[in-house]
Amino acid sequence: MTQVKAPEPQTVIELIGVKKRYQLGRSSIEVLHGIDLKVSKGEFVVIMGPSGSGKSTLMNIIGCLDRVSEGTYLLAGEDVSSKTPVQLATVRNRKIGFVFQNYNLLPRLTAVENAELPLVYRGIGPAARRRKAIEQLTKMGLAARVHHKPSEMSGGEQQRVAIARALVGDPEILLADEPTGNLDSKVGAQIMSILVRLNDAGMTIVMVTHDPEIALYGKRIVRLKDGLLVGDEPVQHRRTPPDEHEGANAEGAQPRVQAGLAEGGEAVPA
Amino acid sequence: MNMREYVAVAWRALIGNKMRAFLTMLGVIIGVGCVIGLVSVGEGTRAQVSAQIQGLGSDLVMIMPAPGRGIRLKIEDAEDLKQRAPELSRVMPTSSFSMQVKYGTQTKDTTVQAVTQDFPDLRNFYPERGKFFTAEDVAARRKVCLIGKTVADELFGNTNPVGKDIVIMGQSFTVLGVMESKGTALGTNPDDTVLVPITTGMQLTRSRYIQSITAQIKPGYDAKATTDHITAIFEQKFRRSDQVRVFSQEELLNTVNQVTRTMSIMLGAIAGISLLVGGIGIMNIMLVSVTERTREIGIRKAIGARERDIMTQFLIESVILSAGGGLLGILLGMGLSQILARVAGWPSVVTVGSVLMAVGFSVAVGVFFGIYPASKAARQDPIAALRYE
Repeated sequence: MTQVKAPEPQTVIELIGVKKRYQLGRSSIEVLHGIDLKVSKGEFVVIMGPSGSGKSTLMNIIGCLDRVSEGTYLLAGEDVSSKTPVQLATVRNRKIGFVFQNYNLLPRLTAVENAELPLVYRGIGPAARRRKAIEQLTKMGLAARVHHKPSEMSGGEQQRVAIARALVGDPEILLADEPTGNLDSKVGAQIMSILVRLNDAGMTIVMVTHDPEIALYGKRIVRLKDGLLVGDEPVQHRRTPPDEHEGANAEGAQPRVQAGLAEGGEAVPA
Repeated sequence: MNMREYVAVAWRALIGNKMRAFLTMLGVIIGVGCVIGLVSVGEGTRAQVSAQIQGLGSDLVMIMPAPGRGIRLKIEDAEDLKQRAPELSRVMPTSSFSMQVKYGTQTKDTTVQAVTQDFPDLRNFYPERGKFFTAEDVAARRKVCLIGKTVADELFGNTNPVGKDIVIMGQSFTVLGVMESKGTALGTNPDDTVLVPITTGMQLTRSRYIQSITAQIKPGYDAKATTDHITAIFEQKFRRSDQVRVFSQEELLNTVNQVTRTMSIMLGAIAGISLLVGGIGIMNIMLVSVTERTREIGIRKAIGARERDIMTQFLIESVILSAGGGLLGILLGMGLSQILARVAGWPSVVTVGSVLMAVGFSVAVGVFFGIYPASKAARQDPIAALRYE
């Protein structure tokens, strides 16, 4: 009588008929005309589309930076479309990790101070959050750079600090908005290899890019045009991340990116 | 995020731009410094004047002819008053003149006060050496006197003046004693005086009149009721009102306190305006800072900062600016009051009250002028803020 069922993949993101309108004076502009999207745990979804297609707006909604005008958004089973700004701040803090094109690190803070920032707003004590931040930075191969400021680091290093910051609070999803947009192709590939490894370890990733090469690192590509979903298919010939040395040599700083990831990272005080 | 961390974050933001932080604080520093400095001068003056008045005895009543009425007082008026006002314990007729006194070849311009044997108890001012003259000396118009410390020092130097004769208006007076030192206050020197019996003094100036009457109220009697009674007595005597002015030391004390307090408040208000200007400076810089840090606000919001967190962060920054300015201003004000006391000789007292007030006001200024920039920061749209270059 026992029937072994394949475990139903857990839905992390569920958008149902999501519309977004912006009020411009008296007229309103509808940017998203009703999006239905489901992302399950462990997926690596790439959102593509020309500029003006609404992909940034969609990212902002998924990231709880913006609210839907119409429709429902369920994040890890929780309806976030009706939450107050304060509740949304908590959702962003606990369930979402952001990686931006321009890294968006605070220039006055060191790498570890940047990385621990989400935990600061979660009310975690200085010692505990510092330990976690150093742990994440070590996994990113930045153990020797924890006390450097963004201005003292290369673009690739800054983006790795940003990834450490996004991961430090154990989010449900990682949202990456053109994460390689400001990097040359070698360093970009290195960042992508980090994201792929994270996804392999179970992290759900949603990434926006306009670069078809970069998009091929994902598992599924969703295409957006004029505020509507116009395509949704799995990636047929997925790119494999570059060899660890290849990525590292481009950076020339920390040759143990993937190794650090694999080891699970002992905090190495700098 | 607890308060200590908010303060740490705000502190780092300010340290990152030290010059700007200092210049922003300067307005508050100067404002608070002025409040403390000026109020301390006002307070010092008030304390000194009231101490002086109290030193004279706070239960005293002065009676003098109202100016321009043609009324003059005689010794008999004082005696008569003592009969009719049982609430007065001592009544003393007085006159005073500016005169030159001589001892040998030494001369000294001083104030000669013609008083009675009641003077020491009335004024709380006793001889340090020798004895005060008696009722008998007054009645007999004896040419005796007591000299103040300043006069003693200038005329006699190290010689003991008691028993020596000094010359006042060509007449020789025997020095019975030297008064204790009261010290200079408010530009007047109570030690620069010669005391003679009222009768002798009137004879010396060939006057039939006295200048004023000083009386002491018995313990337990109300100053206001007593002065009213005295006024009524003189009204009856001269058959007209407003012929004499009667005022008690207590009233004088109140008046002086009121005047100096008004002065303190005015000085404080002027200084307060500069504090206000300092506050506007803080608001200005905080608004600039919010605009400059739009991206930072966006990042913080994206990773989970609530509006309250951003608001608190910026508010604490402006409070640190104003409170820091306030503390430095207190130091400046204390220095200022010391300088005024030393250089200009103004009495100055830095009171706990004025320090607390300055701190309170500067924190209030920080909160008041910080709220608008902080709420502007807190209300930034994170999406727009993240895109801000």
